[in-house]
Amino acid sequence: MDLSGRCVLVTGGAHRVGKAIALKLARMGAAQVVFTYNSSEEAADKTAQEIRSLGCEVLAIRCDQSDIQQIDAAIELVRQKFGRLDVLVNSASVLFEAEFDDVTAETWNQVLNINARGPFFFMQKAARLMMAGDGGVVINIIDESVLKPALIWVHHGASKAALWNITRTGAAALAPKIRVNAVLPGAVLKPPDYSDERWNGLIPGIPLQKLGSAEDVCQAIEYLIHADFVTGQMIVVDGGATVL
Amino acid sequence: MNLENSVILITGAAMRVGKEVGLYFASKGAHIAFSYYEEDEPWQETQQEIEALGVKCFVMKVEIRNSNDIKAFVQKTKEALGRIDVLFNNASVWLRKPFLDISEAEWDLALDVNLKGPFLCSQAVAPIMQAQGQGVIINITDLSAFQVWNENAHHAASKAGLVALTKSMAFELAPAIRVNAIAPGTVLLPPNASEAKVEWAIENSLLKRVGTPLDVAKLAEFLIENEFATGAVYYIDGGRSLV
Repeated sequence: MDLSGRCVLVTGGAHRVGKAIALKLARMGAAQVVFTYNSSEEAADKTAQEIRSLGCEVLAIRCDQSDIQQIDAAIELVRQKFGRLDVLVNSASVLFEAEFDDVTAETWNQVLNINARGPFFFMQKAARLMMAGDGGVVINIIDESVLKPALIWVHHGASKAALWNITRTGAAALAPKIRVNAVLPGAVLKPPDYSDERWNGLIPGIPLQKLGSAEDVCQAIEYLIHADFVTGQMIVVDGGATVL
Repeated sequence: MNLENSVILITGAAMRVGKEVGLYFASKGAHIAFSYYEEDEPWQETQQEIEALGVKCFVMKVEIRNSNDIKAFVQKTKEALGRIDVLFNNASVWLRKPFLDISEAEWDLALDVNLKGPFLCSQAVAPIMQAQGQGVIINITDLSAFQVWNENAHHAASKAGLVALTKSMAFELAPAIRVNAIAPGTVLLPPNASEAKVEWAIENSLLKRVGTPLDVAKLAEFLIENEFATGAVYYIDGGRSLV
C-alpha cells in the first residue's frame, strides 16, 4: 500500500515506540495521522505538533482501551472527521510485573483487556471502516513473551499470545481486502522503570550482542505496509533473542 | 547494511526467482555473483541483463553438492568482486514421491542440494564476512518445512533442516553475521503449470492471488537493511499457511 492520501491510526501513539511509528507513517506520506493516548496528555500535544510539522493532519484521541465504548467513540471520531481508515497499528500496551503466584483477578483483567481485548475491538471496528473503502492494513505489536515464557509476567505473555492468535484469525477473517500481521520486537526501547544496569543486562541474552531501536520496528512496519503478499505473519526484530 | 556497491552471492540464479532477485539487487546498485548448474540454463542472458544495469556480475557453473566447487566459487567471487556482503542460498531441487517409493539416491539428492548445499556455502562464505566485520545470510526454505504436503517427505525434511540450520547459524555466527530464512508460498508457478494448478494456488491463499519473485526480493531487502533481524523465518505466502 502506498500511504499518500491515506488515513492511519496508531494506538498508544503519544510516546515511545507508538510515537516513532506515528512519525514514520507521517514521513511515509500519510495524509492524516490519528493516534490514541491514555494518560500522557502533555506527550500527546508534543507528538501531535511533531507530526503536524511534517505536513499531515493530526488527530489525537484520548482513549482508555480497557473500555470498549471508548474504542467505539475513537473509531467513530475518525469516521466523522476523515471518512476513511486505511492503516491500524495496535501499539498501545501495558507491562506489569507480577510473580505467577501474585497475579490477581484484577491485574489479569486489566492486562488482558488492554493488551488483547482492546486491540481486537479496535481491529473489528476499524475493519468495518476499511471495508467501506479500499481495504487496509492492520499491524499488531506483540513481543518475545509470545515465544518464550517469562516468569515475571504470565498475564502479559497470555495477552500477547492472544493478540498473536487474533492476528492470524483476523488475517483469515478479513482477507483478501485487509492484511493483518504482527511485529515482534525484542529489546528496542528501555522501559521507564528500568535502570540502565537492568536494561544493559539484557545484552548477553541477545545473540547480536546489542540492543535494538525504535527504528528497527519502524522498518518492519514500513515493510509490512508495502508487502502486498504478506498476511497472518509475524516479523521478528529481536536481535536473535528468540532463537535461544 | 546498504545495497549500493555491496556484493551479493546468489546460488542458482540463472533463471526464475534467483534471477529476478539478482536483477532487483543489481537495480539497487549491488554487484552480483551467481551460480548455475545445467549448461542449458540461460546464464549468459542473465549475466548480460545484470551487467546492463551498470554493476559487475561474476558467474560460475557450480555443483552445489560439491564442496570443492563451492570453495572455488566463493574464492573466485572474492577475487573478482573484492568482498561478499550477502549470501542468498537459493539453489534448490523439488522432488516429489510417495514416502514408500523414495529411493536412497532421491533422499540424498534432496538433502544434499537443499540442506548440505546451503551449509557448505555458508561455511565457505562466513569467514570472509567475519573478516569484514559484517554479513547477511538468507536461506530460502518453504512452507513444507511447517506443513504437510503429500508425497513430499524428503523435500520437507530438507527444508525443515534448513530452518534449524538458520537458527543455529544465527546463534553461532552472531554478532558479525545475521542469518534469516524466507518461506515463500506460490511466488512463481512453473512455466508449464496447468490452469487448474493456477486456480488452486489462488484459491489456497487468503489474498486470492499468487505472489511474484519481486515480493521475495523486497523481503530480502528488508532483511539486509534491518540490523536487528536475525534467527527468524519470514513467510511470504499470501496467507497460504493459514488456509
